[in-house]
Amino acid sequence: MVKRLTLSPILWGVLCGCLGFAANMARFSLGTGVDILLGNVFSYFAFRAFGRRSGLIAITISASATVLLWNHPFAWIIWIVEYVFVTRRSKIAAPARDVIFWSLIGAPALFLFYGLIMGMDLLSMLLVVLKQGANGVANIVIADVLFFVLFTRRWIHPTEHGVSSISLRESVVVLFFSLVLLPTVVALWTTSRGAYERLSDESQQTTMRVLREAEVRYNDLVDRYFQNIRALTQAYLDGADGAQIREMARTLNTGFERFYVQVKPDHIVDIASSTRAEIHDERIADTFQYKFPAMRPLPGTEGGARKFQWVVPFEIGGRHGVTFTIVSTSDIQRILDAATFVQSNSALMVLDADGKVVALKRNAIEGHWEQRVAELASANQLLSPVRVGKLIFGVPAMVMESESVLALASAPLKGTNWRLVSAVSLEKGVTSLRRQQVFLLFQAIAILNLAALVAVSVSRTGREISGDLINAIEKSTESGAVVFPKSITRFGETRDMAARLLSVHRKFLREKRELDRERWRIEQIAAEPPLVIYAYEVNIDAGYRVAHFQTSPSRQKVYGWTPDEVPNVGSWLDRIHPDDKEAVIANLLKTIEKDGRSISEYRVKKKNGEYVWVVDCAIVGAPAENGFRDVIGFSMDITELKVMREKLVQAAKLSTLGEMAAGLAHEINQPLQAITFAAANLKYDVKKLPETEITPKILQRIERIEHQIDRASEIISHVGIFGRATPIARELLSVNAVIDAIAALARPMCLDAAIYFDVKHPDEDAFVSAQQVMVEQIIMNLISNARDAIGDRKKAGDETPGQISLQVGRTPSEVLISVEDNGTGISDDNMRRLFEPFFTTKAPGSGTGLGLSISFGIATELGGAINAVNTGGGARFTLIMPRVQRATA
Amino acid sequence: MKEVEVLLLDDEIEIADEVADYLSGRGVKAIGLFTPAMLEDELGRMEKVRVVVTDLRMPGRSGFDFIRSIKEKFPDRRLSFVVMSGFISPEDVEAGRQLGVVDFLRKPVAPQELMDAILPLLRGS
Repeated sequence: MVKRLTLSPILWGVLCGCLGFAANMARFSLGTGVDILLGNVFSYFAFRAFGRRSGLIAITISASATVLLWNHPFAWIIWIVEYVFVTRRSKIAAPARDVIFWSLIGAPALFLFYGLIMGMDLLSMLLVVLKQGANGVANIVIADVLFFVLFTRRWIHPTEHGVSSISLRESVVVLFFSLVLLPTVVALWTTSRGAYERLSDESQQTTMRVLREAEVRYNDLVDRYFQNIRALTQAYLDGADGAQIREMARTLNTGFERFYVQVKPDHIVDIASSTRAEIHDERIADTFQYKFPAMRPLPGTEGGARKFQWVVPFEIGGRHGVTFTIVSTSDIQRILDAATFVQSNSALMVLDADGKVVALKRNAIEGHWEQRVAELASANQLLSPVRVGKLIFGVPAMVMESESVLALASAPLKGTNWRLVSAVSLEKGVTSLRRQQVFLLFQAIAILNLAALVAVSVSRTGREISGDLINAIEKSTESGAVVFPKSITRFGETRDMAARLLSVHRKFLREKRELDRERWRIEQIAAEPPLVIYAYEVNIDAGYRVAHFQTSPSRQKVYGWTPDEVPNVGSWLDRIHPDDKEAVIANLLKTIEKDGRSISEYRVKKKNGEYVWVVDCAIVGAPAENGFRDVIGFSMDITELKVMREKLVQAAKLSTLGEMAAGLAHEINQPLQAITFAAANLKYDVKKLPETEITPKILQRIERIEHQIDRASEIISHVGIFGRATPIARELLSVNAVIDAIAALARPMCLDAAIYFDVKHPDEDAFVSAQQVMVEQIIMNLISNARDAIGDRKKAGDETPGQISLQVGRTPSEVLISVEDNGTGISDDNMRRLFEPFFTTKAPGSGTGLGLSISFGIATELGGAINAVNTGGGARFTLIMPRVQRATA
Repeated sequence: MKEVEVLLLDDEIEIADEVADYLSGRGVKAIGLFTPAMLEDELGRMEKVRVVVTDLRMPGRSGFDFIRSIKEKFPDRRLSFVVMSGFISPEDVEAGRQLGVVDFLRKPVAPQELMDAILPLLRGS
């Protein structure tokens, strides 16, 4: 179809209605006035294809043909009601609904209309009801078949108003109905037509035969009568008297008593009377002018018993005149009786020139048709056989067919201008035909009911099969045998269908399993809190317009922000740390415009106000037609990772520095060693010189060299420890003993600096695996730092007495030795670099910057750590070492 | 002239010379050498040598190999070995003690430190 023809449902309805009207007018006659009308097929087709309203318009138009055909509106009304009933939404198939309609509504309505209003006989009514029902159902079935064929061939396409799908049950019902009903209608039509034609032919022949026979006999009679009357006239002219004439008439068996002869216009003689008196009667005086035999009504006898004047002109022996006789209808009847034979169910009558019945003879036939036949005959309309029945609403009603006759009239009879009319009753033939039709329809309806049962059963079987099939398939697993019930395996098609469905279902199950696993994985990934997936669209050309910003629900978990609080990209950017924001935005813009992908790390504010480090990876797609590009990506809280990484970097830095320092120390060792002894030798050599040559400056310089050598040596030896040039030999140490030893060293030092020093350790001892000198070195270094910090504070003008506390704490697995002071505390910047080698806050020359880094290195090597915190009033350093039991050491 | 009592081995001749000069200046006759072969030669000629001071890490040969070699070549001599090195691991200490090393000095060694280590060894003879 190149181009779909589109008309509104209303127009389709009108079109189908017109087609239906034409088809109804071209009715299929079943011969006895029963017509099959198939025009409503178009209306029901319109209902199927274009919707209920369209069909209603169509049926209103097409059914109106019956008004023209049958001259009454009842069929029209019933058909419209039928349409409304049948096309209601229902589970019952349309043909079955129609059967219900005709049973419950159609038949009673027909009985009412045809029976009570039109006065139809029972048999006809039964036939009409059955015919109407069958006709109606047939229309629907044909329409459905037509629609189904066109629909399944895709020659018509479902419209929004019409039917878009066909149910199995409906198809089966229509199939069975069409299998039964359509042949029935065809059979009805062909057999009835044949039977009716036969009936019609037989009746015509009968009529004609009766008429011809009657004509012949009548003509014979008239001929003989004319001969007789001529003989009587001859006798009269020859001088026979009245008694002789009477005797002669009796002998000839003329059937008449009186004969009149008129040889002059005003001279009429009753030749059969004894007196032969002249008659003067004005009514019959004009018969003299007749040149041909004629029968005419006796003037003045129109009412009551009619009489006729039968006139026969003569010319005998040069004398001419007329002979006539007066006859009554009973005389004619007698002639008719004598002259004709009438078989049963037929009638014969004589009509005069005015169309009035002169005589009638009938045999077992009702007579209400006579007047109509007489009218037709006098109008010259019965020259060939004509069916004559009652008119209802002005037309010959099919319902009265049983009471109609087939009538035929003769030409005007010789010697009169009368006609003979033969009539044959159709009642017997029609009734018998109708019985046959009713019987046939009954059979069809009985079979239809069976068919409906079969259809319901078949469609139910279909439903059961599909139910069984679905059950079996639903129970099937990805592998393993499936036993299908017999209802499925019984039919090849359903077996094949089951196998294919099973394969499809198994494929579905496999894919579903994969999908489930996939979904499970994604759920697991999505459930992990630190990851937030996001997506949005951005249009560069529209001023970086952002649309469809979405984030995974994990965002709230990770950052605390609800979707309402961060509804778009801008509000996310606003929460980035001010130090990072500019770089992040620049990077994002660059990514969107050029790279297509980016990874950035920045700090972002959580809902609780805390900043966390995130890594943000984004991928930008190519622009779509609307100019928007997809941006998808994820951000992840990497704060912990970042801290760990910083520690690692620190450790790596320390390690590298350590190795470098160790290498450097070794390289410097050698020259330093040479210088050391060279300086000592120089001093020795100088002292051996004469005193006059030794200036104080020389000695001062030598001492300065020695001092610097000492300083370098000290650094080198510290670096050696830091670089683990000398691994620590471990021993089991009593913490309390170590602390006591340290206290002994530290106390005098603190006393010198006017610092209060106290020691707290639990009575119960604890043990660590270490070298005492190392632990002492670390703690002494911390104490000396504490002392310097207090000194710095005092230098800044704060004269609060200094205090250093040495404390021992323990956990089941660790020993904690802390040194707390009330000095300056440690600034944030310094806190970060605290353990870096060569980092010092002390004045140049007064510290190597290696103390804490060496301590850190030692502690790490001992399996422990050192940490530092500000206490508010100063700083606290804690050496943490693994605790060991005495027994295991 | 006093007999040589201390031999010093260091791959850097400056160190060996200065250390020997220092000891000699303080009444301990010492000679500094910078290859093991030279030291072995000297040891063979000098009967009075009592102390051998050696570096541990030298090109071609470790200090311990050198000590072992001396002990094999001069089984009858009563010699005290002192190690003077920039890097002394606990394993070195262990290995040295088994070879009869009496003292370990970590470079840079202060002159007095060296004197303190050697004098008792000489007096003990």
